[in-house]
Amino acid sequence: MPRAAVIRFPGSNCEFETARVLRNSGIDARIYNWNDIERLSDNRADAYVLPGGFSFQDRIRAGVIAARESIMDLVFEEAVNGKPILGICNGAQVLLESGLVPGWKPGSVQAALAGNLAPGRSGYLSGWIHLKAAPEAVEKCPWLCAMNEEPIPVPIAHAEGRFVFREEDLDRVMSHIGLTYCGVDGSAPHGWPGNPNGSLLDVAALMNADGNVLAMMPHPERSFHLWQVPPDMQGPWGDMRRNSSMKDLEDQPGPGAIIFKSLAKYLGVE
Amino acid sequence: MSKIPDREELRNVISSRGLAMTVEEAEKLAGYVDRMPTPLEFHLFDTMWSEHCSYKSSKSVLNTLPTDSPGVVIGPGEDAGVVSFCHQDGIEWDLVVAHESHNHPSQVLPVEGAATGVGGIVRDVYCMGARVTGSMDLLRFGDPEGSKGEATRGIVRGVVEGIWKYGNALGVPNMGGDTEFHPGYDDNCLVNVVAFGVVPHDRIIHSFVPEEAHKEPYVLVLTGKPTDNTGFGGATFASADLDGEQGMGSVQVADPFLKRVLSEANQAVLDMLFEKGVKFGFKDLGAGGIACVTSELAAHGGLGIDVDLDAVPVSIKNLPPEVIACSETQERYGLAVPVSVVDDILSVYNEKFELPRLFPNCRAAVIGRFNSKPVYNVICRGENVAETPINYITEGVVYQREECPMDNAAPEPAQRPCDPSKDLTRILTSISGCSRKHIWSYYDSEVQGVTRLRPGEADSCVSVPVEGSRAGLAVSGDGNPWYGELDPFLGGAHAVGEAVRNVVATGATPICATDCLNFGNPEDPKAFWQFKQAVAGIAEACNALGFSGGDYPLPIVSGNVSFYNQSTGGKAIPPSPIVAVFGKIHDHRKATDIVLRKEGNLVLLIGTRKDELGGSLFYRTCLGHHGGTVPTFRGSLEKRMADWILGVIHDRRAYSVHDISGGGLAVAGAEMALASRKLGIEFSLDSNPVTLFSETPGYLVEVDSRFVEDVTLPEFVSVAGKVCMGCSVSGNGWSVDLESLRKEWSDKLASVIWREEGV
Amino acid sequence: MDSIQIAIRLKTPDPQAVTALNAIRAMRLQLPPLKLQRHDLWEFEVSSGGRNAVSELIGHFTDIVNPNKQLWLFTGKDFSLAGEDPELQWVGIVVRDYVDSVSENWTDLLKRRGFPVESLRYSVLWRFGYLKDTDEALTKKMALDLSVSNTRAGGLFSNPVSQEVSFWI
Repeated sequence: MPRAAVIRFPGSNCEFETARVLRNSGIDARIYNWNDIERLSDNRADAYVLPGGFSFQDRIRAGVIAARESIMDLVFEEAVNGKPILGICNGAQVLLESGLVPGWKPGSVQAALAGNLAPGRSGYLSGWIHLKAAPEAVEKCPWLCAMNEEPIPVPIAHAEGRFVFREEDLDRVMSHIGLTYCGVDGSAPHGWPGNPNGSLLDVAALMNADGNVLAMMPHPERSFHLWQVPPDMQGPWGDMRRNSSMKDLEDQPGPGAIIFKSLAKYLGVE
Repeated sequence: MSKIPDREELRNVISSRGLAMTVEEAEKLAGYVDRMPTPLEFHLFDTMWSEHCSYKSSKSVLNTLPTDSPGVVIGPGEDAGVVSFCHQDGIEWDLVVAHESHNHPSQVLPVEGAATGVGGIVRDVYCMGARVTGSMDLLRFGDPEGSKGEATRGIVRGVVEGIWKYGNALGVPNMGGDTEFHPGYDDNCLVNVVAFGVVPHDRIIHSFVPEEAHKEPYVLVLTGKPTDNTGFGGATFASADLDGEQGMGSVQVADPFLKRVLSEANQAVLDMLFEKGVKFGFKDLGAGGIACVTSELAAHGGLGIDVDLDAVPVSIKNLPPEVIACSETQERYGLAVPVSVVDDILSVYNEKFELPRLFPNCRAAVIGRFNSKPVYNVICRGENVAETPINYITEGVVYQREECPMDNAAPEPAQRPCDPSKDLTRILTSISGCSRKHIWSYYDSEVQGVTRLRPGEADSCVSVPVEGSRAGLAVSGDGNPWYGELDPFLGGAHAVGEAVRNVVATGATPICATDCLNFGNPEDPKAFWQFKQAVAGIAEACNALGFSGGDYPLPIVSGNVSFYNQSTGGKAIPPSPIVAVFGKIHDHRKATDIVLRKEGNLVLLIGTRKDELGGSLFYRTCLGHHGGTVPTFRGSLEKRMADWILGVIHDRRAYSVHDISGGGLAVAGAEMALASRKLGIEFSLDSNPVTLFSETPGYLVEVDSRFVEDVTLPEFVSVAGKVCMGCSVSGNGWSVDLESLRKEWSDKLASVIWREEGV
Repeated sequence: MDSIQIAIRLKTPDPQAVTALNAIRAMRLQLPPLKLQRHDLWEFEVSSGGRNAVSELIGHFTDIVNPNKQLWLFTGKDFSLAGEDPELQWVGIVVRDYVDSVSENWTDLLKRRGFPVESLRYSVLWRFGYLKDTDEALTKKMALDLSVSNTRAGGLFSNPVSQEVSFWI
């Protein structure tokens, strides 16, 4: 069975459910502490996940201190080796602050996840949004390779989720876009609330050039089962949820499961 | 040490140390130790005999609450209540629940007050050995549009910020709660917090040193944040100048980051201790700090303890012994463990989880030794700073307070003009009747991945807290200040009733309840009468609404009393009994929400409407009237309605369910339509204020049209209307297009409180 | 139009500064700052009333300054703090988002409430305390290096893609 390492920093808080959904996807997932470096180094995984949470309480700014932890040297090495690496929410912030994404020059910080911009509010925002994959990303990203063009509803929960790029980088960023925010029908969100944080180019997840490293703000692990989808959700997923039988609520995967299914497919899980 | 002091000397100590105890209490203490008590002893007993710790005014009344039911594992008395919950893979899982207030700190420091409120209640659940799977906040604020609106709006924003900044980081999903506004809270907001979690039955941890300590040496390990002067030095409060920059002892500083790491480290330690088969005690530090935790762990286990304050990790040098011992520094726990495992424990905290790296001088350390001599003995810098017979510390004090009934007769309005469309619109766009979504949007309700129904989707939030099990947990907290004000007995009874309905409406059977009783000064006979009335109301409702069979009540398993909630001028808040009810649904897949499903379905009304609109949203919002007859509490009818609803949901015949409470039937119907977006309800009922807006308890249930042919309806059920296309509600001669109202309904709170529009 | 700046700090030790100083120590710099302070900075453009207008509006909003937990003062040449170690020299770095909701929302709110505020900018001031005999130009350079996160191992206090930094006064 392929193995995934879920790496927790002081203050991570989504490590358990993230490991659980990986296991449910046929991947042997284990949680490693930030200082379990030796144990992990001797026992490399096939994929790495940096889970959500508030590493170091987002002090100074989200992800910046965790990015300097020694265990990130190992993640860095594995990223360069082409191993699939996913950062979810706070994990995404760590990946950007580590310079792994977009990673034009690995180790250089070349994008930011800044504070949410929304009309009349600041700080944290939770809620469900819709996402769609960039076709190029489906080709090359192990975390998106099972996706199609249909939008998927997934929750967000963050205070610093606005992707920001330098003006001069906007062109080359295009080929790094993994997921964008969209309307329930896949159309462009045209600002708030479809784009919940003011991300440039409506970016919700960003890759490195090879596509093996994905920094994703929404939480696919919270949308892994159909029963997790809100009953007032719009669109086909909402209809499926509202009309679900007892059996559906037991067995049916939720929209976010596709992220982990993609990895399973990539790693050759039956 | 000196001779027994006289009253004058004691009075001087009380005033110079800012103690809350009476001279009579100080005399009692001096009698116990047979000399002038030490400063540490004064502060320790001041805390132990405080209203908060001793329940000295309330104990005799609280004893009347029903607490016994077959599922109860631990009733009131420990840090949290415990009831049995479900069996899964050979493990018996229990539910751990706790409920507390953090009112006064939140009024002064909204962000920190609310944050430490969440922190404290979560610790109470953790320290029973449980994994915390949810929290809930029951908030009462002044009128954000009233004469003290500016301060109120700042407090609301701050409290919400404190809850999200702290709660979200902890990784405990926020299961909503409720928010009410009433000018009676202008000077004294209420922040009631609830936390709950699950624990395998054989892994419940008690907050006392185990029996084994009589046979082998046990020590006290203190872990967490280094001790500072929190709770001491309030003199610098409210000063905006730049002098005395470290004089902030009164403020509790919350550190969710440390708390999160500490929780994981605790879990690792507890796992290790269970694996080794070691017996131990565990308790969080709250009021009274080290002094309380050490003395209580020892006393409740029938032992004494020697505490060495020089071994306590501190963040400020040269603190006086009474400050080290009684400081309320957050994020700390105490463990009573055998000496043999100490090294392993210290290594988990200090090395594996690197506490010293995360905060200067944060670490676990051995600070005391239990012994068989029943004395509480504290040493600091080589000196004895406390030496007290230990049983006195936990003995407590009790007072019989006087009561005086208040005149709560309030007239009905002279006239009741009603324009259903206009009135419904007015209610839905009022501060009291609008959506709470903006508040919830700051909270993380989905961390842990176990959330089945989030705030606003159903009458209560539902989660699936035990891995592998289908058992769902529904929670709701309620308490209507407008009822409490008019009739504290009914305020208490309906707080239980509404919370029960909210849980039942999702298909969950109520299994236990907690209460937080927020009142004015208990030494004021009127306020004490209100308190007694409310408790009597809660007791009556709990006795009527037991779901365990036989005559068993709905048990109150944990709770808290908060007195002295009043303005600086001494005006008490409205009597505010707030009750949380916890329900179990055997199979979460049956959990029911409020979202209408299908055009043509029937909408049933459960609970015949009565003319009892006192305290209703209709009177307040549409007539500007504050009076009238509060709905009667009809216990046996409530019970029969709940049983019937549970049956319909269990048979999978209910498409959606919503309880009728604030705003009555019209508002309940509108909320169902708003949640479903594309569907609405056409009511086929009379269009009078009683039918549409009376808050007589009840439910609306969506069923298919065959239902009324298949099922004989009991006398309290009737057909109220049917589901139609389009997000609207209508009735005889009126109709409201809800889609056009949606923005105002969902945005009202943000507009008034966060953006201060139109104020 | 007057530009009025205030600095706000916690009366208690600021956990952000505590964590930041820990992170700096882990960087094993040759000359790390010995102390670190963090302040919120609010810069108001007021159309009338000057400092009085700012004092007045602060009194209305406990979420800008809550006197129960924070201290504030107008910044300027006379900026100093009680209890500062005389053995240290201080370098201040201001970090500010190019765009941020806090500034935008508070500007709107204050205008709506009728305060004479044309705009405001929120930023964070980090003050680094170095030994007094350290070369001043060197301390400035070290503070700046510490303040811009160009690389993962580099500075800490700002992400250059979304934030700008400047020396304070």
